[in-house]
Amino acid sequence: MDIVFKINKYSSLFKSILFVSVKNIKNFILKLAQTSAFKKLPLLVFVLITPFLFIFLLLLIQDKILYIIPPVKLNYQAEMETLLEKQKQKAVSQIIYLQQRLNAKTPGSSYLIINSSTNEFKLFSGLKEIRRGICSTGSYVQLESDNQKWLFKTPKGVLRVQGKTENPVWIKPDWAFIEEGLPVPPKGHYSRYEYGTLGDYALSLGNGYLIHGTLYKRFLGMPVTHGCVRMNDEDLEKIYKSLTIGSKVYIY
Amino acid sequence: MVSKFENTIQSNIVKYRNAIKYFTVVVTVILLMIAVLMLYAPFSNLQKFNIVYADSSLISFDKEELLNDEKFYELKKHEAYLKSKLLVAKNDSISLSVNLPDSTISIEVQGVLLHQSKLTSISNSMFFERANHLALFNYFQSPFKTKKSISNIEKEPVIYMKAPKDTIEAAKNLFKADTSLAKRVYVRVELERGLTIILTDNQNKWSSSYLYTIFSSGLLSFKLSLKDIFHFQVPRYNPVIRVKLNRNDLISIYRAIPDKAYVTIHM
Repeated sequence: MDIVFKINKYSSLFKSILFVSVKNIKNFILKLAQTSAFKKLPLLVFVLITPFLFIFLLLLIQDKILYIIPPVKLNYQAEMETLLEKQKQKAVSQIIYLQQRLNAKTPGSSYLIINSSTNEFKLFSGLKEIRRGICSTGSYVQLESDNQKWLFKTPKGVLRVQGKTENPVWIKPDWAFIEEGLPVPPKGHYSRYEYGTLGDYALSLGNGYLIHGTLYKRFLGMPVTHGCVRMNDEDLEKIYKSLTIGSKVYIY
Repeated sequence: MVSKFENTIQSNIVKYRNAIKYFTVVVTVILLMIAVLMLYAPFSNLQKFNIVYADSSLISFDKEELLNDEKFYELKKHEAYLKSKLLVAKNDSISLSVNLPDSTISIEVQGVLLHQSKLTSISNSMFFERANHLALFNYFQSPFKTKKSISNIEKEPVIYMKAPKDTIEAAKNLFKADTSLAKRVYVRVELERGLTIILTDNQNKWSSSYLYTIFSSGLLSFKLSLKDIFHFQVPRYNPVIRVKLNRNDLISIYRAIPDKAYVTIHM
């Protein structure tokens, strides 16, 4: 995070310097031409640029200098041919066996893969893709009130469907009121219950995270949620019917 | 009186010129020494690499000379890559998998393929072409772990927002799109065992943050080399694998892999 912050900080600084330089370049040159330092400008530029050129040239050559070493000679010995053929066959069968073991890691039943960067999902049954489409995941907004803060991000990793509900009711948490600039009602207050907002179905992933429907279909494909995964009605129905309790949901 | 004054000035000018000459000579000698040491680094590293990793006790077949057969070498590398992947699959975190012969890069978790992308360009350091086959085989036969990653995009594009005072202020808090999708993406992943992977997207747009990241990572490498030189050591040299891929795929992959991710490479 620090590195990214630094990069953004310096890149904006770099941008602004570039902008100012381009804007005032004419005046700068005119002023400079009147001074005696102008005569020494090429020398100054040379002194300033040379170290960086030197560094990058060195790094560039460093990566390629091993060209001067001849490549490794393959001294194949004919008497090893029988042994080699045996070992090749062994290696091929080992590759097939290892690939099978790797394929066996993929769940045989249905599972869901969600890409939270592009807000897309893929529904699989074994190695076969059944459906793909767009969804909405966490917005990465960090909402800060006077004494609390919430980060609206979708959890990454391997999760499991822990529950399934038809016609779910949304019990609005505190942040839903704070985000809208409304006073937070007490627990169990009628204003906390919202019907129809989550669509026809909801699949629970634990810790309050759900896969559910949405009224705001124009936002599908964008990171706009508070951590839940929103789908359109048809995709949600297909997923609801395909996944069972315990099915895996991979989010990255 | 005047001539004495002139003489003093003259001698001062000579002294000044001599100082500049000596300074230039000293700087040139230092720069030459740095250059020689830095150019010697790949050779020294290759030599060490061949000694450390060309250990025939690490291989599962009878004779190491068999690796001189290109077909057998390819098969054994593939086998080692799959073994590595199986080992990483025991883990619960997302891992990165780079398959250079197939020109693909993927992320996996528990052996399940989450995302795969085609590599549009691959360029490796000469180091890999000049290293001993047995050493290379041993080097890549176990998974790597990331030490550090540098990029010009955020790992988590967090947008900070103060709670609005009322509904009017809340209405002003419109949806803000993640702007990192608009710029050219550069990701440098440094792995254990001195390997670096540089991933860039395949668009030709240059941005200030892209240039800055390349510049600063180059400068960082040089700084580390200088540090070694001033400690009277041969400067470090990390061989690099450079790949280009689709921008959205790169962003998805970079944001998916954790800070200490496992990386398997099929060379």
